[in-house]
Amino acid sequence: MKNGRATLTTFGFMLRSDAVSAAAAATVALAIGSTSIFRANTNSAALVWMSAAVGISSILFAIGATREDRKMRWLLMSAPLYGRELARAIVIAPVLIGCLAGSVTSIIGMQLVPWYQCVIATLAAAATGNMISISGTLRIGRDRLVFLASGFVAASGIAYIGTLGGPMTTAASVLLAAVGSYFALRAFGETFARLDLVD
Amino acid sequence: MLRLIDAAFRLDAKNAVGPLNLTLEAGEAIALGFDNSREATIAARLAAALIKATTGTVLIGDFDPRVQPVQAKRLLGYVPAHAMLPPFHKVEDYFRFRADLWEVERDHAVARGLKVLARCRNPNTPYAISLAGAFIRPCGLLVLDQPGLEYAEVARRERDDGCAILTTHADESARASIDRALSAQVENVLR
Repeated sequence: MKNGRATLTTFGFMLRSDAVSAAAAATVALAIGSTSIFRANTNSAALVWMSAAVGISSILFAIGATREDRKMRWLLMSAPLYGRELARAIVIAPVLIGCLAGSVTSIIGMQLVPWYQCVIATLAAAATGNMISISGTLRIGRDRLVFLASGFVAASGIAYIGTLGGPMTTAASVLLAAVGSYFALRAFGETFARLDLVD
Repeated sequence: MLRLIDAAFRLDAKNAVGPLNLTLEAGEAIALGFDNSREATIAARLAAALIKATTGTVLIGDFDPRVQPVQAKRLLGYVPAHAMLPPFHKVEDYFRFRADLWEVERDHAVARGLKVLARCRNPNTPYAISLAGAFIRPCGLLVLDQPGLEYAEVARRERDDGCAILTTHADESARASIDRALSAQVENVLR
C-alpha cells in the first residue's frame, strides 16, 4: 500500500462517521424484526420478516452513511490518493460496519434456526445489500432507486435463503453473496472513477 | 505550476465551462469571473483536476492528473465554495486529520493551520477552517472557489511561493454583495 497512512486515515474516518448511521439502521431493523416476529404465525413468515429487516437496514444505512460522508467529500477527493485506494477506503468501512448493523437482526432468527446459520446468512446478506445500496448512492434519479431496490432484494433474498434450510442453503447464500458483492464492488469502483460531481 | 490547455468541461448545457487557456507560474495568482456560481465552481474543480476535462488538458506542476493523480494532488490545496464544518470536536483534530491524509508531520501542520486561522476575521466559519486546512503544508497550487475578499487577502499573505487561482461569479442572487468588480478587486489583492 503506497499511501498507507492516508488510506488508513480515510478508512478510520469513514468508520467513525458511519457509526451513527449504523446504530440507527440496526435499531430500526431490530425494531421491525422483533415487532414482526411476534405477529408471524409460522417460522417461515418470521424469517421473511427478519430477511426484510436486513434489507431495510442496508438501505437505511447506505443513505444515512453517505449523507454524513458528504460533509467531507471534497476534502477526501482532493487528498493525494489513487482513485482505487480512495474507493476501497470509502466503501470497505461502511460495508463492515453496515454488516454489523444488519447482523443484529440475527438475534431474532436465532430463535428459529441454528445461531451460526443465522449469523453467517445475515452477515453475507448485509455485506451484499450494503455494497449494492452504497453504489446506488453515487447515482441519481431512477438509477439510484434501482440500485437501492436491488440492495434490498439482494439482502433480503440472501438472508432468507441462508436461513431457510440446513447448512447447504447457508453455503449457497454465502456463494450468492460473494458473487453479488464482487460485481457490486466493481460497479462502485467504476462509477467512482468516472464520477464528475458538479453539485 | 498550472497549465490549462483548451480545457473544457461539459456535462450538459447547464454544466459547461471553457475552453480555458491559462498558464500560472510559481508565485502568480489569478481571479476568474464567471456568470454564475455553478460555472465558477466547475472552473475551480476543473483547475484542481477534481473533475476531468472533457476536452483539452490540465497539468499541475507538469503532472497530468489523469496519469499521476497522487503527485498532482500533493501540490494542491482546494477550498470548496460551500465548505461544511468538519465533523470534529476541535479544529486541531481536523488539522491532524488533514496532516494524516497528506502524510505530513502533525504538530507542524496544526501550528500552521492555527496560524492561518488566527488571521481570519471570522475563524469559526467553515470557509476559514477549510482555508486554514489547505495551508497545513506548503501548497504549490491553491484553488479557492468563490472566496470573498477577506479570504483572498489571507491567501495572498500565506501562500508563499505557491500560485493561486480564485473563481468568482456575479449572478442575480449574488449581485447585492458580489458584483463583477470583485474579480478585479481580488486580482489586485493578490498582486
